[in-house]
Amino acid sequence: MDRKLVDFIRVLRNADVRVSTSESIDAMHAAALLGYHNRELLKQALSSTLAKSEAEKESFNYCFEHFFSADTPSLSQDSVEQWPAANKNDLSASDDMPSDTIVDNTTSFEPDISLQSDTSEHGSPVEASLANLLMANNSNDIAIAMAQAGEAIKVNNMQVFTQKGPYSWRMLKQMGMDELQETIRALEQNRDPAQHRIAHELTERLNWLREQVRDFVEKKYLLFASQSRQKLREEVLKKARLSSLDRLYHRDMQLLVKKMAKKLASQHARRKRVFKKGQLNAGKTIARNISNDGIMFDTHWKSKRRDRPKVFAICDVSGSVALYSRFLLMLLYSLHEVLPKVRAFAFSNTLGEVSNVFAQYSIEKAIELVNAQWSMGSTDYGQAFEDFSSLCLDSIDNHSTIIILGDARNNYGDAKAQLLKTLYERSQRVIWINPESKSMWGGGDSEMPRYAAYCHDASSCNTLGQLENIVERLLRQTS
Amino acid sequence: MHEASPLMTSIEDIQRGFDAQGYICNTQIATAIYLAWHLHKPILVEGPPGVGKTELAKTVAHYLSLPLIRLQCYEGLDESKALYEWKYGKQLLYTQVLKEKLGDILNGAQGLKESMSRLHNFGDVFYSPEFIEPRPLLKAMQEPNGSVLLIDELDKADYEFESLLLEILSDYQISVPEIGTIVAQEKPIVILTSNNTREISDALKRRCLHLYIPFPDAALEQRIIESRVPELGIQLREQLVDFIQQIRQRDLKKLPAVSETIDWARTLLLLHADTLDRDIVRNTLNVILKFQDDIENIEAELPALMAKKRS
Repeated sequence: MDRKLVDFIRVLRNADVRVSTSESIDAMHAAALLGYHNRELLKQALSSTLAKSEAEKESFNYCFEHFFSADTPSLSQDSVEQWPAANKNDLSASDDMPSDTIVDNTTSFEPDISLQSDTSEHGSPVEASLANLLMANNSNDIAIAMAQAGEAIKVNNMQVFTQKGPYSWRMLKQMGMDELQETIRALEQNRDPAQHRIAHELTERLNWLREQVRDFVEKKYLLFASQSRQKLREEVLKKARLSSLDRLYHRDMQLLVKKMAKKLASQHARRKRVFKKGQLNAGKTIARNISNDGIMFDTHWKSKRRDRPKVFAICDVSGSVALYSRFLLMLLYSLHEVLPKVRAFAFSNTLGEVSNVFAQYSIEKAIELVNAQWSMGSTDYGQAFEDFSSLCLDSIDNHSTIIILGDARNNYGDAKAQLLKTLYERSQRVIWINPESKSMWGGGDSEMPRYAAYCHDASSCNTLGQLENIVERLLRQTS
Repeated sequence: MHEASPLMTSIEDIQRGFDAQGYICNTQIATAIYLAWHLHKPILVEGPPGVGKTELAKTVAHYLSLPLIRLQCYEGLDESKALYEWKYGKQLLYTQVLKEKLGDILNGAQGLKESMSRLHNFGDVFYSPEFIEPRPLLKAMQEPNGSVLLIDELDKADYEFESLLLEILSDYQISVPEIGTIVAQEKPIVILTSNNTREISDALKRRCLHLYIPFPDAALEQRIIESRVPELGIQLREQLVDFIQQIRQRDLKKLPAVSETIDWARTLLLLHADTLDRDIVRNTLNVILKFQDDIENIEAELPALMAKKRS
């Protein structure tokens, strides 16, 4: 059973649930403690040891339902019901066969049971030829035979979707398809019409079995092989242009962006300083005053001063960057999550603070609201800087970082680069992240060259990979 | 012995015991507690505020008759508040008092070297367990019969604080540089709670069992109200739970939690209400909703909400 659990953990890992070795061991202990007989209990035990967040719980539930989809008790002996082989009515009904048996035996047709111990109790299906097996119509035995065949050909090692065909074929072969076809051919050559009927029926059932095997392989593929797909997707995402990304991938993007924003934020570390007030650092005071005969003469105070990073993020949400603004806002939102004191602003022609919106709503909702409120109107960077200066020029000091996200396309309006210069002089750092590539800067109504003069760092960024580079460069500069 | 406690032999026992304490829980919660006890693992409990995360720890402590040691987390919490601190005052006092003794000890010593070596013989007397002021985490390790350690609202503490917890959570020990490692005499049951305002680090999650307590479903909530406010009539209880369950489907700033339902039930009891009519609901909405916006939203929808209930 432990091997089964290891398999399950592999499935979980494929489904993006991060499971460490120590957690696997915990899961095994938990399972051993509670036993495998109660499915619900087992699920809860594994859930609390393996899935450690809401999202992971969701994936876990899905995987659990699919992986342990058949209860072992359903394999009990009483479900063995012989099916009269010569039943004529069943020729047409053979397609419905699995569903019938489900109703009759209250067992589900699930090929997932690969427990050696259970099969050895049954004994017969292993030796039974495929023809007998099919005619016997015991879905459990067929399921067991399928699971065994799957194990024999190591179906769990499947990696890419092109392998599905060959694996299905190999599975059928393993189960004795060749022999069966031989039998069918022999029966067909026979003159007896009854034999013909059996041959016909066997063919029908073989087709049915093919379908079952295909489903089985498909399921295994979904469970075991999706990891490579996930990796592939992440690779692709990093390289893809932000403007062309499908909505579908925004969730993954969010995670990547969040990771980066966190990196950016983590450089603002806590610093300890010597202070004239705060808590008495008694240990140090004693140590220092040993030379003063133990008289507390030279006091030593401690106080922790958290270097509150003052980050001001300004984001252009106008039409010209519509394709990017979603992504820029996402970055802004993530920054907000990791740095609660970040102040966020959005503008197209007038600028306003959106920190509250970010603090209150979920990312989807917040982005929607910001877009609805601020994206009307044509871009006016001059006005935006003016608004920004009047809003919070006073609170910008040499500890503040200003991050500007925008394409600097000003519709030939007054650039007011002077304002940016003031900000540049007052702040610790001005970072401009421009979704346009550098060769486009300065062309048409782009004011980027003029603005770039007053930025500590101005970079082009239109893929996540580039953004990662920028973040890393920033980190290197400060450390 | 820890293992052999008759109170922890089966999940059903735990559930029944908690019931008796007035804490109605599903098997999931009971399973987590059972596993935590037998695997010696801390539990990280997450879920929206007011679903009984802190209450769970209290119940466990009460059920097992163990002392509950609570560490409330907040921004800026550090090791001198959470782990231990040296009793500086005592140290100072002792140095002053013992000053004369030094003369006796050094009496007759030949030269500086010998005086020094005599002093060395006394070791680090001032950094010994007698001078340690235990804070919650250390205190939990030192309880001779075990304890329930509640680390409440971990998400409020700084990120760095989590790293501080790692040693305690995985090995149930605390390293004090001056003394050495203090190992728990009896491993405490550790319950960490988080309101999910930020992600807890993977390193910490890895060491814990994870339990997510969502809002209860109608049946469970009914049982909770029945246990907590038994005086409330059945009909009113059903109406009330029904109403709360409906409100939770709405898009509100803060959804009413179980604690609010209980408060509301008590309020209604106090007002001698026997059915839930529109006026009563309107007048007592502020018990379950904590934002003016939410109250206004729901007030506007009251007729629809009440009508649905009647049908």
